[in-house]
Amino acid sequence: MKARVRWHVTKLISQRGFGSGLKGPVLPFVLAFALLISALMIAGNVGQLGQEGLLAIARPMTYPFFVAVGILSFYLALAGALAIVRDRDRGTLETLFYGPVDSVSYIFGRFFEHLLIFAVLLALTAVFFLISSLITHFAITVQFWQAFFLSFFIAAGVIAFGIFISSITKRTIGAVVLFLVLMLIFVGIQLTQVSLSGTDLTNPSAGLALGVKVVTFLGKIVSWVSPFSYLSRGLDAVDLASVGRYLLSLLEATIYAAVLLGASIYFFRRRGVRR
Amino acid sequence: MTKRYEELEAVVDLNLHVERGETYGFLGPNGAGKTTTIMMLLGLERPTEGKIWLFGQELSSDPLTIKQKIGVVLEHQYLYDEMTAMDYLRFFARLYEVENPDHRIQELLDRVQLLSRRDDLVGAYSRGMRQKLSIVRALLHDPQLLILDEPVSALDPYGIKEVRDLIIEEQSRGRTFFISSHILSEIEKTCNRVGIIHKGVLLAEDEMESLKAKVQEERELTVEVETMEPGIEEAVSQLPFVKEIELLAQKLLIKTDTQQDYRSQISRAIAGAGGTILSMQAKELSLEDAFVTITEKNLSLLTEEVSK
Repeated sequence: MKARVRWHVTKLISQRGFGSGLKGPVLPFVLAFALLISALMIAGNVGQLGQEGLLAIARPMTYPFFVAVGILSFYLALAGALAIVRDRDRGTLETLFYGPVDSVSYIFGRFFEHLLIFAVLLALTAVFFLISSLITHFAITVQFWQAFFLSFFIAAGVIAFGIFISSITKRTIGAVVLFLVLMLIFVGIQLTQVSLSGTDLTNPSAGLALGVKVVTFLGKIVSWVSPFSYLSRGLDAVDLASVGRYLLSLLEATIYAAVLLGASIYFFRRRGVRR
Repeated sequence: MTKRYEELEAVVDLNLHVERGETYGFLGPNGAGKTTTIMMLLGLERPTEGKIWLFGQELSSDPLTIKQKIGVVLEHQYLYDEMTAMDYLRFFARLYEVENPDHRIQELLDRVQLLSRRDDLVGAYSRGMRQKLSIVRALLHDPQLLILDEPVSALDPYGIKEVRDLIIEEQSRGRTFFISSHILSEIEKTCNRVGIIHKGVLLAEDEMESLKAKVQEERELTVEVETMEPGIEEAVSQLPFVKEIELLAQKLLIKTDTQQDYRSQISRAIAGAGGTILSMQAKELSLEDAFVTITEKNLSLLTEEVSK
């Protein structure tokens, strides 16, 4: 009985959010922006091929596709970060919980709502790439479809990350700030890692050696905590055409999403539904 | 049940029992613990101590199923402003698995005079309309218990009457109400039994008339006479049950004890002194008077049975 009611409520909450999400004014702009960036990348590849007669990258459609997925996921993570906290801010969360709604059905409802929106965006993105393939004659390879399938799991992790942020914050502005600050920290650490990798470390000073150690350690943490690290690992797996790494990426993203959703339910319960 | 927030005891050893079909008025000044109690009844706050049974079942055992039998209207109306009233109610009808939802929605909207505005955005509704919409939402699934917190606070006199009539109509259908309100005159008109909570403690709980009788320390009578004959005041003041008497032109304000109705004795005394009575009115103690007396004096009027 409990499971049936929960499933019923989860479906309803996700359907309601999905409907209003699709009707919202922001989504078309985000999709257009993601596809525009991808189109520019594809056009760059076409231009390079035209000028030099050869292409430096093996899969000219897969990278632009991952970039589009990255942009769409970023938007959905932000939307996820606002999902709960905005409902709480407006008081509508409390009204929902007067009825047969509990934290599990609510969190999963909001999660599936965003995942469904991503599915629609993903389908439209795939159509765009199929059309681009017809125009440019760049092949849609097996790796593209692998990336397509993987992106769904990556998006699940990214959305769960956003929902987690929403479950631990009190106000809408707090959720936005926390999300952006975390993103900046993740990117900052990863960029520092990249820049240090180009530094000559044969005879580093004590300070530099310590700095490298700290950044390497933080980088390892970020590689598990940041949702976009899963995207980059997935891209590597697809690029290397390694089935094992690909399957591992799917599993990692699934576990990441599950852990964050569990944590979201825990913190959501602690925080309560009242304003 | 008891609810503590760190140092603050919001609700202390509260023991409430509401019968099926009863309309229970839950009264208390601001910060008395009413909303905390309601939140605990809805499972939105967990009692620090104690348990809650609804419909004979412990709330924590199956809150989802139990909450499907409850309709709630709280003081603040948090609605989805971007939806039309019809879509808003359809969503909740589906949430509560209401059969034939459109028919039920239209019937209820008609009862609160909102049918013609069903396709308007909720955001465009006035405060009173939002209150009525919340009441419709609470009634959609034909709940066994309705919990109302300040149900008429935002309404104009017409709206108040509509909601009152709706409550009375639903009472006749055997629905149980738990109403918390500051508008004591409305509680008086609709509730069978009341509980008064103050500083988290339930001070009094009884049927309306019994509660008022318990609080009333003296009865007040206003007697209008044709001419104030010189012997009237003396004749009345000599009656053993009269505690105080005051002359106001053609009127006598008489305070007696509350043991019995002394109107016939007073009439005889006035007639014996040569007076002719034009009217006699006994002042009824209102719920408001009772409420003020109980909360100001911190009077505990719980029966032994309840306090057990």
